[in-house]
Amino acid sequence: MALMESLHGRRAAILERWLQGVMETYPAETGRFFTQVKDPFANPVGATLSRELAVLCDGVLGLAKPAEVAPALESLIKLRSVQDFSASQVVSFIFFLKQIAREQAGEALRAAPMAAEWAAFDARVDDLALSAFDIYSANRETICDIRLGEMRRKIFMLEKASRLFDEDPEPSGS
Amino acid sequence: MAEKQPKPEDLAQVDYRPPKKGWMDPHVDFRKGTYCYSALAKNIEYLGMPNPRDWQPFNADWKLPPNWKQIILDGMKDRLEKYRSFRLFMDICVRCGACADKCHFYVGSGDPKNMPVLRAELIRSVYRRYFTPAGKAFGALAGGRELTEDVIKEWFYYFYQCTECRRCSVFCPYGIDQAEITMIGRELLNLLGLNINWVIEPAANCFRTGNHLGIQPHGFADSIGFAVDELEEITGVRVEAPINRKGAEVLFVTPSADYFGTPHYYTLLGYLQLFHEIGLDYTWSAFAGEGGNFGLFTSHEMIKRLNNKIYAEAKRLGVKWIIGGECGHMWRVIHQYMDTMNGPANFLEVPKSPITGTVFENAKSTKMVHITEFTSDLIRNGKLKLDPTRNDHWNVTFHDSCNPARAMGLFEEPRYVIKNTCRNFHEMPENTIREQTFCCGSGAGLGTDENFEMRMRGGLPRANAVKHVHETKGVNVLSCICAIDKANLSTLMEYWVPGVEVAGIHEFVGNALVMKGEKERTTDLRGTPLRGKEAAHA
Repeated sequence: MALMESLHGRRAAILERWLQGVMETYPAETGRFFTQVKDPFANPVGATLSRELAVLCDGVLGLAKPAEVAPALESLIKLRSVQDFSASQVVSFIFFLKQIAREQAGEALRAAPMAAEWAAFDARVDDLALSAFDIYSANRETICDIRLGEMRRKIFMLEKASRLFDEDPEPSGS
Repeated sequence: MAEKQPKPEDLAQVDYRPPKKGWMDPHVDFRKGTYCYSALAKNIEYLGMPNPRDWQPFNADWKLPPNWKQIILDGMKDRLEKYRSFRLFMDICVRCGACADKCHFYVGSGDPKNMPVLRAELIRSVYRRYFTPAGKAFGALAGGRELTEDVIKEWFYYFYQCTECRRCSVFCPYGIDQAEITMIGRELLNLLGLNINWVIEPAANCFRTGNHLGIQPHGFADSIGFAVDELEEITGVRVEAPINRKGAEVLFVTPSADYFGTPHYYTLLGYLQLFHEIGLDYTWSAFAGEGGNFGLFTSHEMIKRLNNKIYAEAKRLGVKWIIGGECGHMWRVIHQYMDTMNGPANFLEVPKSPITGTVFENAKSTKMVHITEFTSDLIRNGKLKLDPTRNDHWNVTFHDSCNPARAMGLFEEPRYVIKNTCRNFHEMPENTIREQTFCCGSGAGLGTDENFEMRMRGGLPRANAVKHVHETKGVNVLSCICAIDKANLSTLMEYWVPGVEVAGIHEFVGNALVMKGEKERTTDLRGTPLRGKEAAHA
């Protein structure tokens, strides 16, 4: 508990470092744009990253409810699922939290007697990463479904016409 | 011998950041989902274009002709002499960065080479190296780059990641039109036989059968006939849909997706109802059965050849003027290129609505009127009986399709038609509509299945604005007046904003239009029960 309470006090710094780490997964020029342009319609990626990371940070620190965390994670992973990342790169940013939390915790909290509390913290981060990977996989399946639907819409008239024949089949044996 | 195995501590040193790379490095990874397949040789041959062969972007060897470098440099020289705009755009940019964050692909992907200024720099750097004294003398020091095969591959990657939407040009203080630079870039690539099939096949089909899909005249007639039958079932009214009828007053030209795809098909039903109800003396044409002009994504020569088909058919049929349907880039061609390429169309008459007497002065030279101009004029003059409650199940927003909006300034007419046919309408945020509208992410031939991820990135800014009005205003339909939009926005909504449908404006007109002799309407054109008519429909 001592660990979590201490991390609650460092919440703003943890979030800032985390956001910075995520921005560094994009090219340098772009990280600046994603960070500096505040209009959510001119900069939807930056707005999504900063909004949802705050919720996820609170989730790991036990400051937000799972019902709040789930949509935030979904929104963020949906975005990264179609950006220029491999599957592991999509979810990798979640593991940054382990390192950042240790940096922010200070020397005393990194000492051996805190091992159990750190293990519990790391498990929360791992849970979040596993959920993220589930969402990523579901997104990729959704993409397959959407692509199939798109192909069908393009030949709508053919389908419509063939369904007509299905509804009015030739009598058998004729 | 086996490669050196990393130690556990090496494996723990994972750097998640992308490698640092200068923009002058042309190397591109053709990652699945981010590029379009190449044009098939048979389609390039059909159009009489150079260097047809089988190759794919993911192949290491693109089988370029031996003198490829000279072909490109000669091609650039020709175009620098022929197009003053190209020369100006090569010289004038001061790299102020006003355009940098305005491209939907950059906003959604974060790839710096999608900044319009940098995309232009890909070709500008070659221009400097080979066509300016400073570049010839000092090379990279003067911002010049050697023309290598990697540069050609980079051009292909990034010039087919530009939808020619022209949003960046709205913000450029010098008025540099990035679409024009992309068009020249693609023209040069075409000289080497480098194009994408989604552009070249529709263009070849259009020459052969009159439409992008390659539907033959009897198939075209079947589709229209099918729509007429279905419309009778919905409304109880049998409409006329004349095809290739000589001597009609008006030729109607629309994208082929309207009579083959969905949700376009419901827009087609709306056109058919409208023209029947006002008794318009008009004809469809199986030979000019395509509004779209994929020449715009190929070369200036191809724009001219494809656009000419519409006017040749108008002449053959002896019509007086033309109405164009809900198409996007057809209107950029008509508004910005037709007049100097094939016009003025003096064998036609200045369009005058036979119903209201309105003369469309704006179409004095091209003789072609946009369907929303025509319909809004009918509404303004009280010529249509409309019941907007039939669209009460729709909560509408409007996406300004790039070409009608930015290329011809068509902002008010579509909104006027929507507001007279629907009772629930909400605008998206100001910096995402009208001249600042965000592209659907699939224009200029990029709407391919294999390019899916890139399309989702490019479409994010548009989808994000739709999501806002969906969540705050309950919007459930995104309307637009472009066939590529209708196809792509449907897909975009499924991924980014589930629960929002896509519709054409004349679908709303068709729903609301009270026709003489109609039966009681219990469903809309999609077969969805109307509000309050659920029991009657059941």
